[in-house]
Amino acid sequence: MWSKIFYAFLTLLGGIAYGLLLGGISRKITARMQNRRGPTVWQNFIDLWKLFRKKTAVSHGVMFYLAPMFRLVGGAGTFLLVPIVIDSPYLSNFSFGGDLIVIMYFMVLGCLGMALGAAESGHPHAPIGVTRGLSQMAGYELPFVISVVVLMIADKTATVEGIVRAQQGGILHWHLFTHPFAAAAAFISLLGMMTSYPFQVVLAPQEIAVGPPTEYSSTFLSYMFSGRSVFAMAKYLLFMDLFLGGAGSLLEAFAKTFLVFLWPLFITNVFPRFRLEQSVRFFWTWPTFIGLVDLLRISLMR
Amino acid sequence: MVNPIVIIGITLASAFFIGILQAYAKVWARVIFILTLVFDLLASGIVFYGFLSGELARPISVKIGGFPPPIGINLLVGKAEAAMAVLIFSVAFLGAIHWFVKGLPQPEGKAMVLFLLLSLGATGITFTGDFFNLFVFIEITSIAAYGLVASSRTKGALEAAFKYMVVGSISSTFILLGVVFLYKATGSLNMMDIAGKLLGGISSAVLALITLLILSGLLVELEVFPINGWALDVYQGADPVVVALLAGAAVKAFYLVFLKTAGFLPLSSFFSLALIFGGSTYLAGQFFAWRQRDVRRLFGYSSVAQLGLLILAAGFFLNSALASQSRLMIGAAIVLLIFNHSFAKTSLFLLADNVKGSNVEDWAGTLRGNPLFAFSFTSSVFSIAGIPPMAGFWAKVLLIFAIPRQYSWAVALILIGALAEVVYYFHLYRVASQGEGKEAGGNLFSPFVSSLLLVVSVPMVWGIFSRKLSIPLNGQVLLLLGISLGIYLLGFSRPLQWLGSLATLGYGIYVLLPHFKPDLSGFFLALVLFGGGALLIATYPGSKKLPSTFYPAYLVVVFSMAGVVLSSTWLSLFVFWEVMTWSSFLLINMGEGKKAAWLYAIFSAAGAYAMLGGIYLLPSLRIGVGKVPGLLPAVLISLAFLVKMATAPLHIWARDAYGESAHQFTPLLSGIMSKMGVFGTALVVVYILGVSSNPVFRYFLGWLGVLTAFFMTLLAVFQDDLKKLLAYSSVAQVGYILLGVALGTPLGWSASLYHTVNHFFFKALLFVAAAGIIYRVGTSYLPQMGGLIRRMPLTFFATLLAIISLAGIPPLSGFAGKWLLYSALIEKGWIFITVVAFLASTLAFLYCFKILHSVFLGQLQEENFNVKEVPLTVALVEVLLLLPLIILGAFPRLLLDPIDKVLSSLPGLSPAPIHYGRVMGAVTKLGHWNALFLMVFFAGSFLIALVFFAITSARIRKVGQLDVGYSGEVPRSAEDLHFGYGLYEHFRKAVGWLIYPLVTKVWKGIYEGINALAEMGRRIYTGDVNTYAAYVIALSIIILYIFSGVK
Amino acid sequence: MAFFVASILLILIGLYAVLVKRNIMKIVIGLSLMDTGVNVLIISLGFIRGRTAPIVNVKDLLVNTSSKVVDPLPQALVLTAIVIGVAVTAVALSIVMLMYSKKNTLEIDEYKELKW
Repeated sequence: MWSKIFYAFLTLLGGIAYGLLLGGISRKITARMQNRRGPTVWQNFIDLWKLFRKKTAVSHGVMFYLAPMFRLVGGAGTFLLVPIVIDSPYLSNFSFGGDLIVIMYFMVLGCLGMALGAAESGHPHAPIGVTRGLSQMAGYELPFVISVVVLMIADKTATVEGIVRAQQGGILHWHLFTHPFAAAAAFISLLGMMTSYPFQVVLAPQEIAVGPPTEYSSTFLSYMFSGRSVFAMAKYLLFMDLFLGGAGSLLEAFAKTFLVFLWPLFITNVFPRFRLEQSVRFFWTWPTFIGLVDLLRISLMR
Repeated sequence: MVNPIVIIGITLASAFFIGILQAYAKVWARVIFILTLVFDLLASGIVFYGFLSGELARPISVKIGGFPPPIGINLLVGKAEAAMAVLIFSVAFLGAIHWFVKGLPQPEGKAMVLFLLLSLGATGITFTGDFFNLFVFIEITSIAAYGLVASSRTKGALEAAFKYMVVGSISSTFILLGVVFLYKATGSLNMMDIAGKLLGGISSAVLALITLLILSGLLVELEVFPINGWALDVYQGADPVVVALLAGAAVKAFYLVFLKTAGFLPLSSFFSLALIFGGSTYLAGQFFAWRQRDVRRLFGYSSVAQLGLLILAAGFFLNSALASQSRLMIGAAIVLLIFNHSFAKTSLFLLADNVKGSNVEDWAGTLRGNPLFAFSFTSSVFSIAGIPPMAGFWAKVLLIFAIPRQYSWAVALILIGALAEVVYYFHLYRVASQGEGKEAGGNLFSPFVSSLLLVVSVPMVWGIFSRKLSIPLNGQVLLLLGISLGIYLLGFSRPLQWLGSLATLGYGIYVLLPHFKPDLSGFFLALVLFGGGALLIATYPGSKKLPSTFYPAYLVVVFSMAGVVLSSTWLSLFVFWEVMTWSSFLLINMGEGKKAAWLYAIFSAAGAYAMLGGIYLLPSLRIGVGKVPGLLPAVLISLAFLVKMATAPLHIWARDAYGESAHQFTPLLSGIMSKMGVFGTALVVVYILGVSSNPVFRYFLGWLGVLTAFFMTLLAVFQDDLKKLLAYSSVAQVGYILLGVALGTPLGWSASLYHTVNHFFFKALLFVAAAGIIYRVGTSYLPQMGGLIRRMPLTFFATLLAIISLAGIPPLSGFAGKWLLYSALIEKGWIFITVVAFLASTLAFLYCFKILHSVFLGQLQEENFNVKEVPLTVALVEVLLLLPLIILGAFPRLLLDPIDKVLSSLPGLSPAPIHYGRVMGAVTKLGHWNALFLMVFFAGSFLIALVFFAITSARIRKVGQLDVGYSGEVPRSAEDLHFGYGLYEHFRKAVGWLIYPLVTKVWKGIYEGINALAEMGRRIYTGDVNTYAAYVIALSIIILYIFSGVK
Repeated sequence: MAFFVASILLILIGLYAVLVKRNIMKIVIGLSLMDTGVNVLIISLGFIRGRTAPIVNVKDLLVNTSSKVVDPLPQALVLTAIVIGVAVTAVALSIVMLMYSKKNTLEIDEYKELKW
C-alpha cells in the first residue's frame, strides 16, 4: 500500500516534470515557427523555481488561498486515476479508484477550485476568463462525450483498462482506426480542452491577461503551474489510452503521449483565433456531426 | 310536526300584512319580515329533521280545500322537498340579513313583500303535488322575481327585469300549455295520479310531446344554453341579494321540479336531452366565463355552468338502465352540488356587493388585510371549483365514479369543464390577492356565515363520502391534517406557531413510525417527514412577514404528502394529491408571484383531472391490482406527476412558482414536493406500465426527462434571479430522476432513488441558503450581490459543497447518482439519451459557477457592507443538510443498501447489480468506482498540499478587495470592478436560439385561442330581447321536433 | 274548430310582436296577446258542443250535471291564468314605466347594455 503511494508520488513528480518539459518544447517550436529564438525548453522549470522562491505573495481571501491546492490536487488526482502502463502494478497508479465516468467528473474538480479562487480575487478579468472557459467546455464536451459513449458501447465497458484491452493486438485495433470518426471528434475537442488556437480565447493573454489566474503570483502561481502541467499530462494519457491503444511500457507511454501532444501544437501555430460563440458553434456542428457517424454506426450495429 | 301548509300560509299572510303595515309601522313590518323567515326556516328544519330521524317514513301529503288528492290540490313533501325548503329559507334569511345591514331598497315594504313571495313561490314549487298548482307557484315566483330584479331601479336592473319578464312569460306559456294538454290527455293534474295512470299504459307520442312542452318551459328557467342570456343579464344587473336568492334558491327549486316532472312523466329521450343540454350548458358556461370582465356576470356564467352539470347529472340519475348503486351515488352528488353551489354562490354574490366597481380589476387587493373577506372568498371559490377539502370536491368525485364506463366521454367533459372553471376562478383569485391591500365593504356577515356553513360541513361530508366511496383514507394522516389546521389558532405569535408546527411534525413522525418500512412508501415517507421537519426549522424568522396561514398550510402540505405515499388506493392518492396541490397553491400565492400561482393552479388542476380520468379508467382502484388495458390510463395518470415534476413541456409554471413563492416554502417545494411526482411516476411504471413492458412509452418518458434536463439547464445558465435559477436547476435535476425511473432497470431506479434523496439534500440546502441570503440582502437578483463570502463564510461553505454535489463532482455525494445513471444508461444502451445527459450535466457547471461567483465571489457591493451571516435557524439547517453530502460522498452504501431493499420489495425489480469490493469499491459489469478511496485520497492529498504550501510559501500579504492589478489604475468603487451582468452573454450568442420560448408561446397560443373562441361564442348573447325570445322559440321547436320521436 | 284557429292565430300574432317589434310597449302587448290566445285555447279544449257553462246553481243542471255542462276544470284554470296574466302585465307595465323614466325612450336598441 505504502509503496504504491510512494510510486504514485514518484509518477506524479515525473508527470509534472514531463508536462513542464512538453510545455517548454511547445514554446520552443512555436518560437521557431515564428522565426524567433525562443526560450530554452527548460524555461518552464526555471519559471517554476523562480515563482516558488518569491518572498511575498498577495492573497485575496480564503478561497483564493485554497484554489491552487484544489488545482494541484484535482490535476494530480485525474493524472493518477488514468493508468499509464496497463497491467503494471505501479504505473496503473490509482486507476482502481474509478472508471472513465469518474475520471471525466474528477477532471472538473481542479478547474472548479481554480475558477472559484480566481473569482474571489475580485479582478473582472478572472470571471471573464472562467465563463469563457466554461462555455468553451460546454462546446467541446459534446463531441468528446459522443466519442466516449461510442467507445463505451463498443467495448461494453466503462473502465479505461477495459478500453485499452479492447485495442490490443496490433495497431489496427486502435480505436483511432476502428472508430475513426469518434476519434476525429475527440481529437478536435482536445484542441478545445488544451485551449490551443483557434480556441484560445479563454486565456487571451493580450486581452484579459491569461484570464482566470490573472491575479495569481509567486508561490500560488507555482502551484497553479504545476497543476496545469500535470493536468495536461492527464489528458494526453487519457487520449493515449482511449484511442492509441494504451501503453505496454513507460517508453511507449512517453512516445504516445508525445504524439498526442504534437497534435494541438501543429494546429495552434497555423490558425487565428475564434471568438467564443464561433468556437462553441464549431464544436456543436462539425466535430459533432463527425462523431455522430460512429454513434449511428454503433447504434445500428447493436 | 309542522304541517307544510303552515309554512306557505304564514308566509303568505305575513306578506299580506307587511304590505299594509309598512305604511304605518315600518319597524313592525321589518320585525314580521324577519320573524317570518326565521319561522319558515325553523318549520322546514323541523320537517326535514323528522325525515332525517326516521320519525317520518313516507312523504307528507296535505290535502287542500277539503278534497282528497286526485281531485283536490295537495302538497307532497318528502325528504328532498323538506331539504329544499330549508335551503331556500336559509338563503333567504342570509339575504335578508344582508339587506338589513346594507339598507333595503326603497320602498322597503314592497321589497319585503316581494322577497317573501319569491321564497314562498319557490317553496310552493317544491311542495306542490299538482301540475296546475305548480304553474301557479311558478308564476308567483316569476312575478315576484321580475319585481325584485327591478326593485333596485338602476338602468341595468330594469333592463334585466324586462328581458327576464319577456323570456319568463314565454316559458310559462309553454308550461301552461303543457299542463293543460296533460290534463286533456290524462284527465288528471295530480302528479302521483298521472304517474300511476301512465304506469297503466296510456303512454303515447302525444304524451311525450306534452312532457317536452313542460320540460322546455322548465329548461328556460334552468338557464340552459343558449337560452340563458336573460339569466346572465339578471345576475349582472340586479341587486346581489336578489341574485343570491334567485341563483341560490329559486333555480334549485326549478331544478327539483325538473327532476320530478321527468320522474313522473317518463320520457324515453330524456337521457339524451339532459346529456345534450346539460353538457353544452356546462361547457359553454365554463368557457364563456374566460372572457368575462364583469365579476357578477362571471359568477353568472359559473352558475349557469353548475346548473348544466346538475342537468347532466339528472340525466344519469333518472336513467333506469344504470345500476341502483351508481344512481344513489349520483343522487348524493346532486345533493352535494346543490348545497355547495347555493351557499357558495350566495357568499360570492354578496361579497361582490362589498366591492366597489364591477370589473375583475376592481377586486385587486381585496383579499389583503380583509381576513373575513379572504376567508369567505377562498372557501367559496374552493367549494365551487371542487377543490378539497370542500364538499364540491366530493360531489365531482362521486358523480364521475358513478358514471358507467360507456359514457366516459361525459367524464371527460366534466373534467374539462372543471379545468376551465379553475382557470377563470383563479384568475379572479389571483387579481384579488395581488397588489396593494384595499378596503372592502364591511357588510360581510351573510357571506361569512354561508361560507362558514360550507366549511363546517367539511368533516361530515368527508366522513360520509369517503366511506360511501369506500376510500380508506389514512385516519392518522387525517388527524394530523386536522391538528395542522389547528396551528392557525396560534396565529397571534409567529414563534409560537413555529414551535407548535415543529411539535406537530414531531408528533406526526411518532404517529407514523410504524410505516417507516423498507418499501417505496416508507422510503418516501422518511423523505417527506424528516425532510419536511428539517426544512421547517429554517422557516423562522423569515416567516414573520408571512400571513398566519403559512404554518397550517405548510404542515398540511407535509402531511398530505405523507397521505399520498401511504395511499393504498389510487383514489385516496388522488384525494391527498389534491390537498397537497391546493395547500401548496396557497403557499405559492403568499409570495410575489401571483401569476405564477395561477399558472401552477391551472397546470396542477389539469394534471390532477387527467389523473382522475385515468383512475376512472382503471379496472381496480387498489394500487397494483388488475391488468390495465391499453396505455391511456397510464398516460393520463402520469400527466399529474409530470406536471408536479415540471417535465417539459409542462414546465412553464415552475420558474416563477419556485422563484416567487414564499422563500420559506421553496425548499420544501423543490426538495420534496417535486419528488411526489417521482413517487407517482414510479408507481405508474411499476404497477400500471410494468417495468419490463411498454418499452416505447418508457423510452419516450426517458427522452422527456433528458430533454427537460437539457433545456432547463440551459435556461438556468441565462437566468439572473437566484431563486429562478435554482428553480430551473431543480426541474432539470428532476428530469434526470425521471430518466432513471423510465429506464425501468434496477440500476436506473437505484440512480433515481438515490438522486431523489440526494437532490433533496443539496437543493433544499441551496434554497434554504437562498432564503437566508435574500432575508439578509433583500434581493434575489444576482448581479446585485457578490463578495458575500466575506460576510457569510458558513453559507458559502455550505453552498460550495451543495454545488459540488449538484454538479456531481466526486468526492461528494452527488457523483454517485451520476455514476449510477450513466452506468444504467450505457447498460441499457440508450445511446443518444446518454449523450444528451452528459452534455446537460456539463452545462450545469456553467450555472454552478454562476451561483457561486455572483453571490459570494467577486467584489462585495457597498450596499451589502453591513450584511450579516444568515439567521441561526437557517445556519443550523445548512449544517444539518451539509453533513449527509459529505458522509454519503464517502459511504454511498448508507443510502444504496436501503434502496436495494426498496427495489426488492417491488414487482419486476431486484437489487441493483452492484458488487462491492474492498479495493475497487462499487463494481458493475461496466465499471467501478471507489467512493471512500476518492474521498480519502482527495482530503488527504489536499491536506498534504495545504501543509506543504503553508510551510514553503512566501509571506502572505492579505490585501483589500479593491487592491487588484487593474492596468495600473486604482479602481474607486466595487461596482466598477464587479463582473455581474451578462455573465454568459457570449454563450448566449452561440446557443441562444435553443432557448427561444417556444413552449411558452405554444401554451400562450392555446390560451389565447380558447379565449378567442369563447369571445366568439359568447357573442350569441346579443342583449336584444327579440333575439332572446327567438332563441327560446326556436329551441323549443327543435326540442319538440327532435326528442319527441314524432315524425 | 274556429276557437282553435283563433287562439293559435292570437298566439302567433303575439309571438310575432315579441319576436319582431322593436318597441317595448308593443312587446308587452304581444305578451298579453299570447296570454289571451292561450286562455282561449284552454277554454276551447274544454268546450263540448251543445253543452252549457258549468254553473251548477241553474236548476235544470242539477241532475245529470256531467252530461250537460262543458269540462269545468279548464275554465277554473283559465280564471287563475287570467289573474296571473293581469299581474304579469301590471308588473311589465310598471317596469316599462320605470325604463321610460330613465331613458325617455321605448326603443329596444337603447336597452342592450347588458350583453355577452
